[in-house]
Amino acid sequence: MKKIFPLLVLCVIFFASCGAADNSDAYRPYTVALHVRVDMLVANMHALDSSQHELIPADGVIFSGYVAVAVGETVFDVLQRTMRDERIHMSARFTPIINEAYVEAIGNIFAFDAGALSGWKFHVNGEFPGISASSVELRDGDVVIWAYTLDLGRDLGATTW
Amino acid sequence: METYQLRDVTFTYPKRNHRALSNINLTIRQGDFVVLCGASGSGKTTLLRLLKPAVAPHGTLTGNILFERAPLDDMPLRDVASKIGFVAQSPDDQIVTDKVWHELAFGLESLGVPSTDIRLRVAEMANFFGIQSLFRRDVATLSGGQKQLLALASVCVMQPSVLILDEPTAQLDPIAAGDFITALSKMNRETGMTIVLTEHRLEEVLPLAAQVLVLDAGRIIASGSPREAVMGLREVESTFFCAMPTPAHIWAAVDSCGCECPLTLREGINWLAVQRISPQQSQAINSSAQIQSSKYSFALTLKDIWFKYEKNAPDVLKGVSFTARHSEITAILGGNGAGKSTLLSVATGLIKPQRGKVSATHAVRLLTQNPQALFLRNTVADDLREITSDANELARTIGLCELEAVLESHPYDLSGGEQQRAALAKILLTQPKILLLDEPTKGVDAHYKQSFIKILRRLASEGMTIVIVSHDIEFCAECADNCALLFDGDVVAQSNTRAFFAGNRFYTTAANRMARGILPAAITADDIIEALHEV
Amino acid sequence: MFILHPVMLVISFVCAGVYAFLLRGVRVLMRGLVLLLPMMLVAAAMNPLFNHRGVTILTYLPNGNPVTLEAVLYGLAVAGMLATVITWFVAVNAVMTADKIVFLFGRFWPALSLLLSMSLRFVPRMIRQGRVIVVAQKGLGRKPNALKVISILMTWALENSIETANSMTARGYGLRRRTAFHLYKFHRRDVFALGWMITMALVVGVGVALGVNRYRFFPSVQFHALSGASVIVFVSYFALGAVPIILRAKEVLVWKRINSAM
Repeated sequence: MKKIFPLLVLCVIFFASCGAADNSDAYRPYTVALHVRVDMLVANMHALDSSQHELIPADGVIFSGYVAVAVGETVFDVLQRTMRDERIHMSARFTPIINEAYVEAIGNIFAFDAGALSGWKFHVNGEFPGISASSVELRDGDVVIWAYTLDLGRDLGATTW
Repeated sequence: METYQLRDVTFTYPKRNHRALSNINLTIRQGDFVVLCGASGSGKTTLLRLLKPAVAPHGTLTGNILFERAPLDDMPLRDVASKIGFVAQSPDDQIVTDKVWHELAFGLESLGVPSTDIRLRVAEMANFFGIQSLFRRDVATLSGGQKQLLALASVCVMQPSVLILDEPTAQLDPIAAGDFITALSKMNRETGMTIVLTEHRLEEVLPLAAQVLVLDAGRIIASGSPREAVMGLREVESTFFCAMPTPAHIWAAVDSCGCECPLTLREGINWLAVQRISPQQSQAINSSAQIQSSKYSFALTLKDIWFKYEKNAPDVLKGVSFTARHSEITAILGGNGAGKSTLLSVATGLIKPQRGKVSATHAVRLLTQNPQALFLRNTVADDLREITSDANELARTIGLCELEAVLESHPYDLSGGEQQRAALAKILLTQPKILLLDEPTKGVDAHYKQSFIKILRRLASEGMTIVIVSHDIEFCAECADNCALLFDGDVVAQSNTRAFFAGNRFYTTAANRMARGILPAAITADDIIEALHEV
Repeated sequence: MFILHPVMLVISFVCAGVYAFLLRGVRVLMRGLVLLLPMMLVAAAMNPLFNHRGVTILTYLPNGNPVTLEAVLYGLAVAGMLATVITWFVAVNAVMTADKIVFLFGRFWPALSLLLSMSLRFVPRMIRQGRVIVVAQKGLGRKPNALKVISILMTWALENSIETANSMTARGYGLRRRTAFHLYKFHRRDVFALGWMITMALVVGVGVALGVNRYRFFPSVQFHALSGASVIVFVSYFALGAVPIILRAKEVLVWKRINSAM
C-alpha cells in the first residue's frame, strides 16, 4: 500500500493547483457586449440527445451582458473569463504551436453533439472573422456573439468559416 | 496372403549415378516380423520407405511393388494412410500435437472418424500399450521411450495391416528400447499385424524375426530366417557381422564344427560349453584384469559434489567423487536419471555445484548429446571452417574423423554416425585437452561405432583425456580404460574396465555373461574369439 | 461485465472476487488487489483531465478547462469495470487451460485447433532446444551469442519439421472430411447450467434493452429510479455471475462431507 501514497499526494497537489489562475483586479478600460446563444438548438431540439435537453434554456440565451475588457484581450480570453466568473461550463482545446484555442463546449453543449456539422461559432459586430477566437483582439464597444451552429455557420448567416 | 511383393525393384536418387537399390525381389506375408539390416548407406532405409508412399523418397523407381496383390501406386490415399502405419526414428519430431490423447486421435481425425468412435479406439489402444496413465499428460513431460511408444500407439490406433518402422529404437536407451521391442512383438503376436523394421541394435530383435534381410550396397546379400541369414552372411564374408548379436558374431568367427548358429545368450552359453578353450589364454585374460595402477596422473578430479537444480528440488548429485587420468578414456555408465548429464555439466563448469570441488589441469570441453545443436552452416566443410581456417589443422581433423566423403553434404543429411563424427571434428578443432562426450553412440550403427572407437583410442594415445557418459555397455567395454557406475547420484564403483565388468553379474556385457562360466574375465566378443582361436 | 451501472458493477466485481478467491486463494487475490488499486486511481484521475463534460464544476485546470464531478465519477466507474474484468480474468486463467481453448476453437474451425495444439507443442520445444544449443556452444568453449543460437535453432526447426510433416501425411493428414476429437462430454448438468445462464442473460439483456436500469453520467449523473423490474434485473445479473461460485462451492462442500464421513 505504500506505493500508492505518493501517487495520492501528487493527485491532491495537482487538483489544488488547478483553481489558482485568476487576476481579478486587472485594469479593464473597455466594455463589450457578450452573448452566448443556442437559438438553432431551441428550434431543432431533436438534433440533440434527450439527456441534453435540460441544458437548453427556452429563450436560447445562455449568457447575455456587458463585460469589462483589458487592452489586448481576445475574444477567447473574454469568453473563458466570463464563463468562469458566471459559473457557466466551458471547455476548449489548444494548439500550442500556433497559439490557437478552439472552443469545443459551452454550457455542456459540445461540438458535434448535434450532428457532424455542429459546433460553436462567434461573430464580432456582425462579422465572422473566420480565424481563431484567440487571434481576435477586442476594442471598446464591440458586440461579440457566440452561437451554436448546426451547419458550419451557414444557418447563422456566415459566409466565411 | 502376401502383404508385399517386390519384383525387380531398382531405385536411383535424382542426380546420382549409382543405384540406391538394385533388383530387389522379396515377399512379405501377412503376420511376418521382418527385420531389414545393413550398414548405414546400404539402402535399407530407402527400401523401407518405398513401402509407404507418403514417406517414399523421390527418385526413379523401376520394377513392381504390390501391396496385397495390387500395385501400391494405385492404392487410394485413404487406404495408404490407414492400412500402412509408419513410425520414424525420432520420437520428438514425429509427434505432432501437445497432448497424449490428441496425438492418439490424430490419425483418426484425419480419416474423418466420428468423435464417439475415436473415443473407443483410443481407449482400446491406450490399454493395449499400458499408457492409460499418460492419457491426459503433456507430450513434453514424457520420456523418450514413452514418446516412442506413443508414436507407435498413435499409428496402431488406425488399425493398419502392416507397420513400417525406421530404426525406431535408435534414439532410446537400452531399457526403453527393450520395452519398445516387447510392445512391437506383442502387437505382432496378438493381432497378427505385419511388421517391417530397420534396426541396428540386433541383439534383441533378431531372435524375434521371422524373416531377416541383410542389405549391402543396395542388394540383398542374405535373407531368410535369422539363422539362415547369419549363415548366408558368413558365406559372403560380410563385414556386417559386428552388428550381429554377440553369440552369432563369435560363432561366425570361430565355428568350424558345423554347429547350429546360436542367436540368443542362452544358446550362446550352451554353444560355448562344447567348445575347447586353452587354459593359457584363459589365464592371460584373467591376469590382465588384475592390473590396477596407472602410470598417468589425474587430469580431472571431482570431489564430494552435491548438486540440485532448485532450492526445494531433490539432490541430483549426492557427494559424487570421480577422477579421470591423462591419456585415458574413462566411461561413466548408468541408467536414466542417475545424474550422468548433470555430472558432465558440473565437470565442464557450466553449472556450479552447491558443495564440492572440481579441479582440472586444462580447460574442459563438452560434446553434448544432440550433435545437431552444433551445426551452423550448410555444408560440413563450411561448418568446420567456422572454427578455424588453418588448412593443415582442418585436413588432419577431417582425416582423423573420416569425413572426406561427406564434406559437401548438409550436416542434417548425414547418418547418425556421421553427424557424431562431424560434431567430434568440430570440437577437436578447438584443441581440447580434456574432452567429455555425452552419449556419443546414440543413433550410431555398429560399423560407425567401431570407427568411433578407433578415433577415440587414437586421440587418447596422443595424450587427450576423454570422459564418456553412456548407457551403451558394449561400447564402453570396448573403448574405455576405466569405467565408473553412477547410481542414484553417486559413483558406486570405479575401476579398470576389465575388472569392472568381470566383477558385475548383471550390469555387464553380453560377451561376459556368455563366457562367465569359462572365461570370467572376457568382456568383449574379441576376447572370446581370441581364446577360441588359440585352440 | 461491461455495464457501468454502479450496482451491476458491484455485483459483478463481488462475484469475480469471490470466485477468484475460491480458485486461487486469499494471497493471489490480495496481491492482485494491491496492483489493481493504484491502477484504478490512475484511471479515475486521468479521465477528468481529458473529459470536460458534466454540469458540476469542481475546479479548473491551469489551462482554464473545468474538472467536473461527472467526469470523476465516470472515471471511477471505468476503473471499477477494469478491475472487474481483470478479476474475472484472474479466475478464468485458473480454469481455462490451453486444451479447453483448443477444444472451443476446434468446434468452429478444426484446422485452427490443430494449429493451436501444434504450436503449444512446438514453442516449448523450441525453447528447450534453445537451451540445449546454448549448453552445446558453451561445451565447445564459446560464449553463445543470440544470433548464432537463433540461426542454429532455425535450421533445426526447419529440418525437423520435415519429419513432422512426414509423420502427418503418413497418418492421413490432408484427406477430406477431418474431424476434431475432444475429451469433453455434454452432461445433463451442463444442459441445466447452460439453460440457467442463458435465461438469466436473457432477463438482463431484455431489462437493459427496455431501460429499466438506465443510467447516464453526462451532462449530469442520473439513474433510473429503483423499481420492481430493475430489482429483477439486478437479481438476475447476480444469479448469472454467481453460477461459477455456486458450482465451485458445491464441489468443495461435497468433497469435505465425503472426506469427513470416511
